[in-house]
Amino acid sequence: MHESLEKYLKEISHYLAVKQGADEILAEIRSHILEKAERESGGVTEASLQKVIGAYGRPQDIAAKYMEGHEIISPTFKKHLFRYTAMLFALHFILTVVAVYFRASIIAIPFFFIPKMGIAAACIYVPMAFVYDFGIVALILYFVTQRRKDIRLPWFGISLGRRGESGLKRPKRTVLVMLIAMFAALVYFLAKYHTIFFCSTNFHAPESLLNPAASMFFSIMFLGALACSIIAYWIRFMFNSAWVTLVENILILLILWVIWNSPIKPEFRSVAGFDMQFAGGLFVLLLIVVTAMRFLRSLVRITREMSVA
Amino acid sequence: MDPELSSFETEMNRGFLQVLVLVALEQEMYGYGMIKHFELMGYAVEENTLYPLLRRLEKNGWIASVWNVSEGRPKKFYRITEKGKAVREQALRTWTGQNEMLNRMKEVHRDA
Repeated sequence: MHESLEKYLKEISHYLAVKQGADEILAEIRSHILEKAERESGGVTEASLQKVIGAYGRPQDIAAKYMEGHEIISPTFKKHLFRYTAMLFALHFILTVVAVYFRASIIAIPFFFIPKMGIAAACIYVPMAFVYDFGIVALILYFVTQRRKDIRLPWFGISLGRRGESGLKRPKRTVLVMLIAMFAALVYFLAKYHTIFFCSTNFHAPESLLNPAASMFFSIMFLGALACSIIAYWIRFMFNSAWVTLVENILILLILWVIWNSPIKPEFRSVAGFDMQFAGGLFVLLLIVVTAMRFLRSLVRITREMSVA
Repeated sequence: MDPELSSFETEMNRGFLQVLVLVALEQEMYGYGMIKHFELMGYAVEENTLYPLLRRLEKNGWIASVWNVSEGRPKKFYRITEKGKAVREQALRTWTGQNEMLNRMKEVHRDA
């Protein structure tokens, strides 16, 4: 019994994931090491064995060589892994937002169980959901790879440009000017009427949709979000990267989070018999969903920017 | 050695070693003996490369093995199969063709 040799073989065995013949592989390595030690190092001793073992290589490298061509997930599915995860996570994220908004659980067997939770719990739940989605996709691709069939998986293409590029369109000066003009007009309304939300189109005596305190708070918040978009758009003239849109969307999501959890409760005026309270909530929810989707799209664009052929 | 050059050599040797083994196994040999035989012929092969390769060739049915336990320490002896011989002939033709093509290419570019 040679302790160092047996320990070495045990290590190889630990990494060796072959369906059959593992014992035979180890027996052959044992035989080789013993013979080499005997013939080239003057006899089988612990010292000579350690020398031969050192030259043979690291156990994980040895095991990997026996498993070449038996990838866990085929390299041809690398793009699918990230694309499918992004899509599944987008759906998961949207359903989570809906679950939080309606304070309800959502069960979509077999992929989702979204418990009833508040915003704080959702902040913990969402990163876990991402890991879960990544795992689900990896598991499916693992089974597809192991079946070793020539399967062409569906590819849900999004126009993102060539590899190594984000696919972002070049910003236009006219759009920037329009955005700035809109921002200036809204600041003017805020300064003059203390709101940017109106429930009448009578310019001589416009009526605010919200109570005064809520009007000022929500107007500033929405103007802040708009300012983020304008600054991001301006930066893209110099640095047209998905990183810019990613930061923009993170900031807007933060602002929307503050609006959602606003300490100032808005009191809406009813317009033509409509329940504006519900409509207001729905409007913010829509903004969150759209911004979240833009955020995910930015993430996908960043992976494109960073990917190399 | 430059890691990229090393990787390039490994890639080149991969196919060559398969052919070499199929040629050498006309005569029955075991792993350590094969490594020593190649060394004598002027070709160094790493043991941790040879054994996984032998296993792959055996899985393909190109070589067959048998354990010999009569000499004290058990040894796994390999020999080429009929299927392996057919593969070897095809591989040698490919190899010869590639060599000729490479030589012609070198001649053309030398003249140019």
